[in-house]
Amino acid sequence: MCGIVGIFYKGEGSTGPVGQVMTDMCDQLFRRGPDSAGVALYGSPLQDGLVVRVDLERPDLETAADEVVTAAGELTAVKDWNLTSRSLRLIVASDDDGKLADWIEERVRGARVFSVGRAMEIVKDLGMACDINQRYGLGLFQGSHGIGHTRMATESRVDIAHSHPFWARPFPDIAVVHNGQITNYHKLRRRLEQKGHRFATENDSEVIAVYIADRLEGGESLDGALRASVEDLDGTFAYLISTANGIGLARDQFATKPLLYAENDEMVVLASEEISIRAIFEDPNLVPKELQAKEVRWWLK
Amino acid sequence: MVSDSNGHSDSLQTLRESNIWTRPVLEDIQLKAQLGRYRMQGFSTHRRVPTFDDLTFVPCTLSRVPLEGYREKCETKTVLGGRFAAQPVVLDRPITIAGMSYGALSGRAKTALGRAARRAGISTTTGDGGMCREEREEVDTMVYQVLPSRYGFNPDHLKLAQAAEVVIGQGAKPGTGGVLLGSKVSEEIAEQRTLPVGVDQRSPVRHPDFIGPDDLQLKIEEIREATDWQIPVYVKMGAARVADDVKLAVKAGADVLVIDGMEGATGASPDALLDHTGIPTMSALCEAVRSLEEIKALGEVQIVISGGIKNGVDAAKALALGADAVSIGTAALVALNCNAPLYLEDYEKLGVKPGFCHHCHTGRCPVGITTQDPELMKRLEVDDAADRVFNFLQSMTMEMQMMARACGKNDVHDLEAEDMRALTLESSIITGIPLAGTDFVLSPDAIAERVAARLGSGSSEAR
Amino acid sequence: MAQVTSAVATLDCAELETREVNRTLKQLVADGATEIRVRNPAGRHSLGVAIKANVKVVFEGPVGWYAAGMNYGPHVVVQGNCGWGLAECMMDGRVEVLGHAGSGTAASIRGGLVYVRGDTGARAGIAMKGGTLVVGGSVGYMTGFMMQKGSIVVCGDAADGIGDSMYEGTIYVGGSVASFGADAEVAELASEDHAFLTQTLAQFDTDASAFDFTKVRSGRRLWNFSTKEPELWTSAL
Repeated sequence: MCGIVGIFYKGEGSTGPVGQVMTDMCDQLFRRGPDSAGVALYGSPLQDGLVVRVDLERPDLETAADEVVTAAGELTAVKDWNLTSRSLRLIVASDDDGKLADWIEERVRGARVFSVGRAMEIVKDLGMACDINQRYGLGLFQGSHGIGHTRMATESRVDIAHSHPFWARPFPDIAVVHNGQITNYHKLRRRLEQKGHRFATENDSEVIAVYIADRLEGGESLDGALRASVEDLDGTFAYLISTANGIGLARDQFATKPLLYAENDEMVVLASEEISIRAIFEDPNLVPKELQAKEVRWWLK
Repeated sequence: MVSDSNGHSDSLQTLRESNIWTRPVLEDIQLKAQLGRYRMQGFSTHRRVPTFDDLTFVPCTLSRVPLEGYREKCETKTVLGGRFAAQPVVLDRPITIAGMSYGALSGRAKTALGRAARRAGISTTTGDGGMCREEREEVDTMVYQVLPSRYGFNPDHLKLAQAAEVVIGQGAKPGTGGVLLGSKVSEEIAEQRTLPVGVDQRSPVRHPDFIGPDDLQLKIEEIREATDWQIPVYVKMGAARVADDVKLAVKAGADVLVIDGMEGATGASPDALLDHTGIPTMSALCEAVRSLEEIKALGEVQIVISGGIKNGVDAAKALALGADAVSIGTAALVALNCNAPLYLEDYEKLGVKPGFCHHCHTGRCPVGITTQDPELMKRLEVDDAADRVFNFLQSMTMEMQMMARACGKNDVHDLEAEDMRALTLESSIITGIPLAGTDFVLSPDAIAERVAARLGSGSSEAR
Repeated sequence: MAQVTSAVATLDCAELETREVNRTLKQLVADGATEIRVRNPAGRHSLGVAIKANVKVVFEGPVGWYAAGMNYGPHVVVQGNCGWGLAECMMDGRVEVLGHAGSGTAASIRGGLVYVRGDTGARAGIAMKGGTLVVGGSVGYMTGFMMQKGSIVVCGDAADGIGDSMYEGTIYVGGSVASFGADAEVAELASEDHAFLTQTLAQFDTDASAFDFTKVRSGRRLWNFSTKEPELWTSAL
């Protein structure tokens, strides 16, 4: 059970301080999610290359980072990299086969690839969002859109790997944050695994990301994929899915998990509770409205 | 007799009953062929499940020193809800009377339970109908339930309580709501519950204003705000996914967890739910304790366990496994007179006999406890009934103290799992207690340790 | 922070925790305030709960969940939105939200009046046991679910499942109905209904005659178990 947030700056090329905004909004929901927090932020899309975020669960961070850079370098050119606390950020040339994440994880003990994308960067850790902001310098992150999450762990463990957002691995730039519980998780997972998809965790929220990515890969529009998910997912959910171009959402048929959105000419803001929107935005025209049961919405550049 | 051409018969004369198509199963199908729906009944599951009876105490002999039975003190005082409340609940004994609705029970029954509880220095709990006025007048410590139906819910009554109990579900039928059939929705009950008289009342399973543990945290805060943070907030759950549910309830801010195992009873339920939902009380308790240990909340949050607790020995074993108190429902009703051999013709009218009655749902309780019929209600003489319940509470307490002293404890809360041995393989695995006569626990960790120890010490020996 | 000038007091929540706000509110009531204006509520939860007094409380901004919950008497006005559980279990009083409300609005209220000028989320008026809920805008999924008594007046549209599993009580919908809930039936409006609607909506400067209200009430087929309509029961239970 959790709190989720999202922001989308409208208009081609418009950006804002997504790192600061997402973590500030997350902190307002701390009651819903005391265990961990995470964000998926979309900065300037790379014309030529991909940004990769790797989490290092080892005491010897520098050595681990070197190992990752070496391993990645065997598959593609590593153009740049830097280490902030346990998050290693790399810029690589390409990952056409989608094998880079597995490659790195198989070779480097304690390495977990959180995201790969032209623009998307996932940072998540234990503790409050403001701590994560400080630890990883998110206050400086400018971007076009982003989603965030604070977690109260239900069935899977409280650890970083099981925290949201979940990357729809290996599809670049797709991530999900979810409030609720998918009760047909195992059935959906088996179906997707049979189609060749792989899962990184035992967390039910991950299946939403893979489900949507699978549909998009099959040529479905985001709208179609979201609508299909309302029929196919069982259980309680209000979720945000972010892609290279924007954000989509869906709410379950009984409207069990709260989700509000507020829109003005510049932006769209989403949150589980109004307090999260009010604490950050002063514009009186940003009037939050609760989404309806089974409602699906999306905002794309 | 049908015979073959030689005059011999194929059929056995001995009457044989199938293990599948037993008489109860046959009658069940025949009844459903008339009803066209599931079958309702009161009481609890008739199934056999692992229980505390599968454990035994290993008192002191030479290895530990026992206390003298009648001369040396054994403390039974119990404090519940110290986590956040300004005024935790203090009980003279680690026993509470479980929530049973005024509606499911008669006013006299509630009164008798209240009187007995006051004498014993323990608490009673309201139920799925709101506070019964007589009960509030009789008892000193009343736990006020906040249920999904909110029938009879009155903030003034909440403010009169010594604890609030947010009810997520009950052991008899976790994941479903309460039921009170029409014959028990009398004018008075209908008035209190704001329902039409005679309706078959179904309570919702979910609360109207919160869904899920993240909302529950806000709801608990609201209750604290309404009661000025004075009283503890209990969260009651039917034993289902106990490990996860416990962690969530703790995170949502519960002071006390009330966990009701599958042996828990109810006034009315589809019988399929009684038999096929929930896990046994003993299993639930072990799972809950382990779960609290994992989040380092054992001791900070208390556990009250219920579901088939039938005497002081069960209570002692529950405490030894980690409970802070037990709650009794059925046992208290039996002390009131449930299934007593009185008014035999009325048992017959229901098609049962004393000792076999589980017909609380009909509203025709022969001894006047689970009924709203004015004539039947008169059969429960309140003062005698209160005496009986108090006597039973006394007997429970003495049994607990007896076990504790025999194990060398001067406080019943010092009983430990190590004071017991398991008599069956199942109970050993469930509780982590060695099987009697062995020092072995059948758990993956224990096995791994043994294997590691063997390999370590045996490496120098040839095979 | 909190001042009483004549009988009107003001209270600024800006630096305060919910608990302080509520304690101060109760103190101001005890000190004799008849109207309290609360600044900067900023979406806090559980504001103004369990107040038993005839006092007017105006929240100058949005409030969070359970605002005015368990109240007995106050007239509460919210100049903004509110979250889930507005006025839940209210015994009596008057609550007006000038923005939108979340889910579970007026859950299980027993008396009094709740008014939302905008829209409500799902399950408004769930398990109502008396009182009146008026919504100027539209209502969400399963409004009036398991309603027992009282009235709901919706000027706008109703989403799926209106009046599902009602015991008693009446719902009036001025706009469209996406779908009716289990055992909900449509009934003709009598003169008492029209009088009630006119009188109730007049309080909010709304002319009842501008709408063509649909009256929804319990079909009573779910009151007692019956083998006669198995389809009805398989969806209801």
